[in-house]
Amino acid sequence: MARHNWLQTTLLRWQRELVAEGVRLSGGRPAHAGPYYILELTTLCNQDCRYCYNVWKLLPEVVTGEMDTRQWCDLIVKLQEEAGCRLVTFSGGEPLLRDDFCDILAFCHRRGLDSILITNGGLLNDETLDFCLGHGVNMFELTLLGADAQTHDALTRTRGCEASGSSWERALAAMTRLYKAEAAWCGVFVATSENIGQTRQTLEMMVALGATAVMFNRFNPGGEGARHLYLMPTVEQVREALAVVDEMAAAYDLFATASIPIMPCLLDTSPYRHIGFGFCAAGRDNAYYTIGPDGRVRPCNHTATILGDMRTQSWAEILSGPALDKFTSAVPEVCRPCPGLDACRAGCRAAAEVCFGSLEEPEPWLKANLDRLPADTT
Amino acid sequence: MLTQDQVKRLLKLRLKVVVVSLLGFLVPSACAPPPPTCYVPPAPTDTPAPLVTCYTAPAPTSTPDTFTSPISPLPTPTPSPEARRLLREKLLTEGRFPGKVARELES
Repeated sequence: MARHNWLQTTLLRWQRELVAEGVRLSGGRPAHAGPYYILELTTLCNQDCRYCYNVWKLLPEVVTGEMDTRQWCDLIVKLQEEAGCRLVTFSGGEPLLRDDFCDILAFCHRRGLDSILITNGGLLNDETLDFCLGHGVNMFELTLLGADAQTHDALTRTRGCEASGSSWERALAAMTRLYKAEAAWCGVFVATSENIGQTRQTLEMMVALGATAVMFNRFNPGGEGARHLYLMPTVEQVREALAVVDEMAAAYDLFATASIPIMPCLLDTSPYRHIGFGFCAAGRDNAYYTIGPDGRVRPCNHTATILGDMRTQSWAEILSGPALDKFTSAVPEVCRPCPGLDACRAGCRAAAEVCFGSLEEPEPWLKANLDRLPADTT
Repeated sequence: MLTQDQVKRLLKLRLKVVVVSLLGFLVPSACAPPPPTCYVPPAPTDTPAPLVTCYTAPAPTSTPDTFTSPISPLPTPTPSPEARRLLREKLLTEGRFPGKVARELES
């Protein structure tokens, strides 16, 4: 494919090497710096995934309504003017379920914003894809949960019909469209106890269909997922799967990330040199503030904490309220003496908040593995 | 006092900075699409969103010999596109894709 010509490949490799050396590049197209902004356009979804983290599935009161086109456009202008936003991420629910999705996207494009689209792919037909590619969507993010329909559909609880195909077939069809259009897309694998054994086969499919990047996300309970804690993989399962991801990232020159925190006290991630490990970014420069369907702002898309309301408050007001401090400073007792706390941030505070009702609780994956912590912390 | 090796390495880095910056400026499309240096959060994932922090690049590795001269001879392409094509063919042969997708890929 054209975009994989030698020049580009070489430049990207050098960029990576230079970044690894701590060199900041001033030339070329600048990468978007954080913070990032996730727009949850709707609570509606055409799937019923057991692992879904959408907080309103467990706590419906977190969302009080859904804004119309005009309100979203006003909010986007405000985000640009007050927060300096240059990149938005469309999410949901399933954002393509909104009739006015293309209107909102076109508005963002006219305002000079780039965008990322998170979708399950079921509604990403040729026409919508063309529109997206022509209106500033520079990354698509689609989930594939297994190498066969049975595994994928069991997790999405969405089997589809003969005409439309199963949710697995629809996801693959969308990925095929992206591949044919040479679009940049990121394949997401949500690793649960049920599908983690298919990590290799699933990633192979993503790679074969041209995924630019892969995200290996261990199941992080929240929303609907909080009702299915049995989906949490074991530490051993995650260790084995990370070795596969690392191997594939090296073999296929993939950008691989593990976006859900993998706490170093549970698993040493240093052997996996081709995977970028992410930790909670809330409140930091690379935070991804989330604006719900009703215009209310949260520190991330997993949490139920409301920072403020974009419709009635300024961005500065929202960030200066007490809620963000409370969210970012919460630390479970067991993590306080840990020397790695500043980097690890005690895993996902939002998961603890949603599953156990307190930001100060250990998050679910840590709680399930407390017996593995070094003796001096317990 | 820097050792000779350190000096060499620094010079190589400096050369790469110049070349990458210059080519990146002249050929913006070459640097644009895929992986930005700072991995843009595939944000939230439906997947759980992007608790993605800035992409942490792999630990520095020694500079491959092929890059001693960035001007000539040209570095050889990485095997990635070819490896992907072979993988795609293998999966098609094994019947790993559903019928519609397989037909689409073969067309």
